[in-house]
Amino acid sequence: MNHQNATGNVIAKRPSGRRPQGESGKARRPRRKPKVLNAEGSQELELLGAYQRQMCELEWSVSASRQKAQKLTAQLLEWQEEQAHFRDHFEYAPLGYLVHDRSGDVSEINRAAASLLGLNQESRSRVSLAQFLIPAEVRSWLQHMARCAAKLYASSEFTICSRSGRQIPVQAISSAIQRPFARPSLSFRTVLIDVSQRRAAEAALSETQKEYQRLIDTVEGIVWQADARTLDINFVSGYADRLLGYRREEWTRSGFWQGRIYVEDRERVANELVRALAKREGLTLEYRVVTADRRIVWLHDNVTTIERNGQLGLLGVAVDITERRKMEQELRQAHDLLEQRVIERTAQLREKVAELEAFSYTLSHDMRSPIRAVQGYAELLERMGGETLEPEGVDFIHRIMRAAERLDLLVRDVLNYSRVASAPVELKSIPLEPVLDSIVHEYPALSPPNAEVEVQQPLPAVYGHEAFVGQALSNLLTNAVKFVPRGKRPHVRVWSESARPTDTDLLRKNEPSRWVRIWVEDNGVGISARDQQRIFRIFERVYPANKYEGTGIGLAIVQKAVERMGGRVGVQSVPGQGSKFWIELRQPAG
Amino acid sequence: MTLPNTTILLVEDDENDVLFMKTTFQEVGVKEPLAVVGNGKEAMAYLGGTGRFADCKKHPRPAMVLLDLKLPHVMGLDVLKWIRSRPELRSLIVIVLTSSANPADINTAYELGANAYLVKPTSYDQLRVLTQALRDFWLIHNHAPGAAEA
Repeated sequence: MNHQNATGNVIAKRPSGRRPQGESGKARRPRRKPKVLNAEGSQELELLGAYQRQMCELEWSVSASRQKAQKLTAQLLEWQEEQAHFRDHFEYAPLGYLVHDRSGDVSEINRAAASLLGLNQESRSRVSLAQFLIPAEVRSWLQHMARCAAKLYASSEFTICSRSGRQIPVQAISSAIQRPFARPSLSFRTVLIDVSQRRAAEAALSETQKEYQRLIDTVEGIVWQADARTLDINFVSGYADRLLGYRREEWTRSGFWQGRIYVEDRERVANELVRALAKREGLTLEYRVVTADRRIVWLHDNVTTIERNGQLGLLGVAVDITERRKMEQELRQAHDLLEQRVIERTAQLREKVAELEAFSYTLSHDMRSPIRAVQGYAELLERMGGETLEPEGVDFIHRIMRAAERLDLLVRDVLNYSRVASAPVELKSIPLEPVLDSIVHEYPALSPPNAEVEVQQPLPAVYGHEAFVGQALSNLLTNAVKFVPRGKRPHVRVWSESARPTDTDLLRKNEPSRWVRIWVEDNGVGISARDQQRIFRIFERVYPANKYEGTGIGLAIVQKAVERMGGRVGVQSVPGQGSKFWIELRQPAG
Repeated sequence: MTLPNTTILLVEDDENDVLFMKTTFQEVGVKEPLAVVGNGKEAMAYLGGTGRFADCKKHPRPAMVLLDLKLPHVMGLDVLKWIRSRPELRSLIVIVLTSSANPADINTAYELGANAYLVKPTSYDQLRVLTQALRDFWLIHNHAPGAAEA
């Protein structure tokens, strides 16, 4: 009457009558159809009915129970699956996992823990953690467990000795397994983490740091780091001790290094640091520090602002520059002293020169009076004597006059020279053509029929002193027409060209001035190379006075005048082929 | 003094130069009398009509003064300054005749009111030419300022 359908569900089948069947095949309480019977039969039927009723109820409860059982079984299977699932979590966790009691007897152990301890599958059971501890650590283990029992949690580091003999540093994190209604924990969970790699890395890092530290300490400069907020030092290299005499530990004290800075420099240093920090810039500071033995040391500090983990800090390298500063100081003093000396000497020289110039000027002037007297009386004498004088006497008088004339010439030339040497120079733009014109006019010797002077125009303007320019050019021109072979007609050519900047210009690195070179070329006797240097000196003459008149100052005056205007003079000449004199003067600006 | 005078006052300390001036004046036929003083103090006394020059008949006011600059005691330029400071002498013709051709001296002389600046020539002939020119220009061609002033 009861049968199982395809899915294994028990379906209660009614003994008679039709009934609807659902998927779940739930048993339904049968519904009785009333039937008509006799008294005995109805008694039997009643009994049967009751019996049937009971049977149905029984079937129903059995099937209900069976269903429950099935449900429970199904759930049980589900739970078992879950358990297996979690079991896998436990077993295959990447960290060593153990469950054990207080004394260390292990009840559960996962694969990682087993491998850590050097156990294979068989020897997994019945192990105790105590077996794996090195003797020295047993006590620590007991303390660890005591802590865990009390605080329900403990973490410690141990060295365990695995079955294979290896010693492994581990971190054990233990927690007490809490069971409701249970007595104080009997079970503990412990995670074992192999920290050997971590330890090795830590050791390597420490070693590297030590090496780094040693390296920094060898630097001959104070390497330091400070906190940006408090300005307190949090690291300083060993050189700080070697240089300044304060031990490394002292430097990190609050406010220590600020106190070592020389009083006068403190404010400046503080201000500069604050400013740099505000702008997140680096800076260079030079300041003094007082050493442990009360000396002053000058430091040159290169400071940068750094940011680490959002924290602002200062990093610097300070170098001892005391020697250098001392030398700078000495150099400056020597320089000042030298300058002072130069000023004094120059003043002395100037005085001397002024004296000499005044002397020569006065002298030349005062000499002209007696010269005038000699000349005058000689002339009067000649006039008076006239017919009564012997020819010889007349000749003597003439010689007196010539001598006096020559003396006068010399004095005048010396006067000229000293004037050119000492007169204050007024520089301005001087057009050359008018100057040359007036010179040619002034000296008949420069005009036909005596000589031919050809001026190649245009001539530029020069930057100079008017009187000096005139003096130089007139001396050059009168020379040019003077030193010609007898009988030859002097022919002089004057022209100008641009000149290269001089070496001194290049040295001074100013914008190179523009220069003008004026040439005065003659068809005279020429000058040998040896004489070309001499002729510019005072009173130096190549030819004696009876051959070519002159005092030997003319060219010296030219040179002095041109030099005072900042220019140069020179000559190119071959004996017998004339000479080319040149003077170089600045061009006016603009 | 009512009549314009033609005396020439020479202020010169060098006796040779004085001699030369006198001789050349003679040679060129300068008829005007030549008065000579040897230093600045005397020049001022002459022009002021003081001391031994009090007699203005004997020492009449000159038509022209030839002034050397290199004088003892009082420099020629100071004499010039003094002359121009006197109202009655302000228009007096003063010609500097000196050996210095120093531009500074020349400028100062003109600034102080000199009428001309001459440099003593070196040769006697040139001196003669100068004297002639001096006389021709200043005493003949030039119209001198009137002496009659209240």
